Amino acid sequence: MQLIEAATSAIVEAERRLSANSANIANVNTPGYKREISYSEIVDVVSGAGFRKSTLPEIHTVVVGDSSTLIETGGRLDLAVRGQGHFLLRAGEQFFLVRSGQFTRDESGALVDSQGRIVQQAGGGDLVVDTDLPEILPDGTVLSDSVPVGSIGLYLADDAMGRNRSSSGLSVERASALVASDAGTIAQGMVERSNVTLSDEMIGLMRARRMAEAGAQLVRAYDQLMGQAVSTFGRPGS
Amino acid sequence: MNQALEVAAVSLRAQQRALETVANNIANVNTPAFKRSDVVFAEVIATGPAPLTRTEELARGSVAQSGGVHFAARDMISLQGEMRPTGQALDIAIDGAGFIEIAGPDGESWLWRGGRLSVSSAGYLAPDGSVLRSLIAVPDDASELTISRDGMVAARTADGEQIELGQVMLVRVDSDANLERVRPGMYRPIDGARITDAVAGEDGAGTIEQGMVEESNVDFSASMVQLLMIQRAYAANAQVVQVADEISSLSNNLQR
Repeated sequence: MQLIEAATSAIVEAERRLSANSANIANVNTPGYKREISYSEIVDVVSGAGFRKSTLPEIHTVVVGDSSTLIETGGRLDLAVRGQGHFLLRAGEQFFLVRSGQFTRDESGALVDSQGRIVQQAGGGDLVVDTDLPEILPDGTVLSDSVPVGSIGLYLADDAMGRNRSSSGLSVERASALVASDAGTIAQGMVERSNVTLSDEMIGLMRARRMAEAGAQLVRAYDQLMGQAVSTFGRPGS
Repeated sequence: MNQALEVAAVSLRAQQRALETVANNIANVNTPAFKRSDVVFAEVIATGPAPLTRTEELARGSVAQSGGVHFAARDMISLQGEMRPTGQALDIAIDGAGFIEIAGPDGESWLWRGGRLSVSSAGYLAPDGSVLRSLIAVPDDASELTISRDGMVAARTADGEQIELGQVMLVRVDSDANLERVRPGMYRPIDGARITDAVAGEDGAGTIEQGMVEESNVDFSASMVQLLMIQRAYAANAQVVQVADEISSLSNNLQR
C-alpha cells in the first residue's frame, strides 16, 4: 500500500512546487516582490512497536526575503528602502509592510499604492500630500515646495513577519507595536526589483514536471503489479 | 495544478494589458501634450474563506497563497513635456502646472493643456470646436496677436493702436486622480473635484507660452525596454501554463 501513497505524494509535491514557481514567475516584474521557495522534509511517523512507519515528505513554502537591487524609474512617487525597514500601508483596519512601491495620490491627496492602501507617517496617521511632485528626503521627510508636510515611517519586520506573506495583514495592535527602523533610508525615484531569478524558476518547472512523471510511472507500475497479482491468484483453480 | 494554471492565466492577462498601455504610449510619442500612462505591477494575495476547523487552519500553512500579479496604469498627467517652438502665433502651451478651462459639450468644464487657437466665427479666441471660459473677443481689424506669459492677450488695431483684449486664466486641480481623459489633450474633472483659479505665473501655476507646443512626455527608450520585459514575462507565464497542463494530463492518464 505504501507504494501508491509514495507515488501520490510525488505528484502532489510536484503540484505544490509548481504553485510556488508560478507565483514567482507571475511576479517577476513586480517591484518589492519576495519570492517563495518550497522545501520538503521527512516526517517520521512511528508505529506502536517503535518502527518508522512512514517516510513520506511534507512540503512547506516560505518567503525568501533577501533584498534585491534598486532600479531607477524616475517617477517622483516611486519609493524604495535602502538598508533595513519597510513602509507601513493601511487598508481599513489592517496594516501591511512593503519594501517598495509605485505610489499615486488619490482624490483626497493621500499617498496610496495601486491597491488603494495608504502610506503611514512616522508616528502614525495617513500621509496626505498636496502636490503630485513632492521631494522626499532619505530620512523620510516629505517636502512640498521646500516646505515639510509630513514624514514617511520605516518599520522593522521581525523574522516571522518577514517570512510569511499574510493575506489579512497586521491588526491595529500589532502595527502599533512595530519598532521604527533607524538603519534604513528612503530612495525616491527608485523601486526594488523582485528577487525572482527566471532561470531558477524554469529549472523548478522542469523539476516539477519530471517529479510528476516519475510519480505517474510509479502508479502505473503499481497498477500493473496489482493487476497481475489479482489475475494470477484470483484465477479459479490455480 | 489548478492554482498554477489560474495564477498564470491572471498574469498573462495582466501582461497583455501592460503591453497595450506601453503600445499606446509608443504610438503617441509625437502627439503634442500627450501624457503617458506608466505600468504598475502589484502582487495579488489570494484570500480564501476563513478556515472552518482547526485542522483546516493548520493544513493551510502559514504562507498566504499568491494569486498572481495585478496591473494598474498610472497616468503621468503632471509630468511636464518639453517645449518646442512652432512659429505659429496662435499656438499656446503651458509651461508648468495648470490647465486652461474650456466649455465642453453640455457646457461642463473641461481642462485643456494648450494647442492651436483660432478665431471662431463669432469673433472669439478659441480652440477648434469649443470656446474658452475666459472669453476673449477679437475685433475684425486686429492683427499681430500677442499673448504674454501671464496670459494677457493684446492686438494691434487697424490704426496702429495696441489694445488689450483680455486675459487667459489658468485653473488647477488638487491631484491627477481628479482628472479623467476625454479627448487627446483634454481632461474632465471628476464629480466633486475642486478646481481653483490661478493667474499664469503666480502661486506655482505655470506660464503660457505663445508659439510653442508641449511635446509628449513619453520616454521612448524606456518604453522599448518595457516592451522587452513584458514579452519575456509573458513567455515565462506561458511556460507555466504548459507545464501545469502536462502535469494535469499525467494525472488524468493515470487511470487508462
